[in-house]
Amino acid sequence: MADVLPKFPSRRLPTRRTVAGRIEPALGLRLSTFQPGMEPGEALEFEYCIQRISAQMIDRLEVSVAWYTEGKGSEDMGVHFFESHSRAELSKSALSQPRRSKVTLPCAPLSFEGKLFKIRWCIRLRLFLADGREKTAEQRFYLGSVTSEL
Amino acid sequence: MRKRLRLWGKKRGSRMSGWWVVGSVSEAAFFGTLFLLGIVSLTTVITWQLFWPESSILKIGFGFWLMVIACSSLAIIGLSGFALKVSGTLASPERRSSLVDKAIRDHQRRADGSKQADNSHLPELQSFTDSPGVKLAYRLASQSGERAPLLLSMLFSSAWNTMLAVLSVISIQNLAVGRPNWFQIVLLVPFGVVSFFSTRWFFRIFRKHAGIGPTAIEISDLPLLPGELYQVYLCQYGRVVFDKLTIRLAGYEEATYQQGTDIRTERAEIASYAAEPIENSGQEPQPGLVADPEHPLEMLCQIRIPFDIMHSFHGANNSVRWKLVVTGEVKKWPTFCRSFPVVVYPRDAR
Repeated sequence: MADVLPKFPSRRLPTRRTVAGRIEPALGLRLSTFQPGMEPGEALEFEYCIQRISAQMIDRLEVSVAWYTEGKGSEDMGVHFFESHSRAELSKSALSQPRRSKVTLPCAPLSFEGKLFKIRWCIRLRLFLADGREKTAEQRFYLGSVTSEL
Repeated sequence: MRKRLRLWGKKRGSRMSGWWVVGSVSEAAFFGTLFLLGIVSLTTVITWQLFWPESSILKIGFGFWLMVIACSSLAIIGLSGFALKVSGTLASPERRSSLVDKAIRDHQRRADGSKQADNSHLPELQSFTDSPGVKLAYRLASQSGERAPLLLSMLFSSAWNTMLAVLSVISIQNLAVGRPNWFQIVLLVPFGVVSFFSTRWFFRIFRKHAGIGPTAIEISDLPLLPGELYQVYLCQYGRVVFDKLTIRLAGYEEATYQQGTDIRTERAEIASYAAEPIENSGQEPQPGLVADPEHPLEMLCQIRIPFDIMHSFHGANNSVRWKLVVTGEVKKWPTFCRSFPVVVYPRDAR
C-alpha cells in the first residue's frame, strides 16, 4: 500500500489571502420546468437568487437569455432578453428570496450541434460587485429538437 | 481585502490570472496616446501651412498629403480603439449585444416600418426570390464562387504565356544579330514547361464549365420549411448525354477563425437529402438523359424537407448554408457538379 501525502506550500499563506477572508457570493439559478428542452414560442420560466452577500456590496445584476456559438469558429452571440437591476431595485426585497422571470422564446436560431460549431442557448446572470469583481452563473437549455449530436 | 497590483497575468483555461483592469487600462492608454499623437501631428502639419505658407518645410505636395493621411489614420485608429476598449470595460458582452440588436431593430423599423421579430441571423430572402421562374415560382442563381478557378487560371495562363512570348522574341532577336544570350535561351525551357501546364490547367477548367451548357434550376417556393414538399425543375442546355444525373439538397456548416495573422474558413457537410424524379422513376442507367441545342434536357423532381432539418444560419463567424447540388456523370468528361444556394427557415419564422 502506498502512502499518498498531501502537498503543502513551502511558505504559509498570509491570513488576508485565505478563502475565508473574501466574501464569495452565491448565485442560484434554475429553470421552472423539469425538462431542459424547450420549443420555439414557448414561455421560458426561471428563478434566481443571490446569497451570502448584502445589497450594499452589489453594483448591479444583469439577467439575460442569449445564444452563443461554441467550437472552431470565433464566437457569435445574440441576446434575446436583457434586464439590468440596480442596487436600489435589488434592495426592495430580500436578496435570498427567489425572483421569477418569464420570457417567450424566439423561433430561431435553434440549438444546434454540428461538426465545426454548436449553437447554445442559456440563461446568464452576471453580478457586478461594488469592489469591481464580477460573478457569473449560467443555465443552459436546448431550444428546438434539430440535433442532439451529429 | 486589498488586492496586490500585478502587472503580468497567466492564461488559466478561459480566464486570466491577475487583475483585468491593468490590461484594459494599458490598452486604453495605448490607443489614447495614439489618438493624441495623431491629432497633435495633424494639427502641426496643417497649421504650419496656414501660418508659414512660404516655408520650405512641409510644402503642399505629395509629402504633405502623405503626412495628412498618416496622421489622420493614427487619430482614427486611436479613437476607435479607445472607444472600443472603454465600451468593452464599461459594459458586459450581453449589454453590448442587446444594444447593437436594439439599434438594428430600430433602424429596420424606421427603414421599412415593419414590426417583425429580430431574424438578423437568418439570411435575407430577397436575394433568393428576385428572379421568377418559367415553370415554377423562382429561378435559382448558381453559386458564383465556382467561376473563380476559371478566372484565376485564365489570368495566370495568359500572363505567363505573354511573358514567355516576350522572352522568346528577345532571344530570337539576339540570336538573329549574332549575340545569343545562352542563359536566356536555357531559361525558356522551364518557362515553357510552366506555360504548357498552366494552359492545360486552364483548358481543363474551361472544358468542365463551358463544355456542358448552362444549367437552370427552378423551385416551387422559398424559403424551404421543415416538413413541406417542394418541386424542383431542372433544365440542362447544350449538347450532352448523361449516364447519371442527380439533384440533392446539401447542408454545410462554415466556421471562420483567426489563426495567428491568418483568417481561415473551414467547411463540413452536415446533411444531404436526395430529390426524387417525378416522371422518371429513377431506373439506372437512365436512357432519356440527353440534351441537344434544340431540345434541352428537362427534369421535374420533388423533395420533402425533414422535420428535424437545421435552418440556414448566418452569423458573423459561423454559418449554416443549404444548396441544391446537381451532379452528373458524362462519358470521357470530368464529373459535372453545379450548386444553387437556397434558404431554409424554421417552421414559425416566415
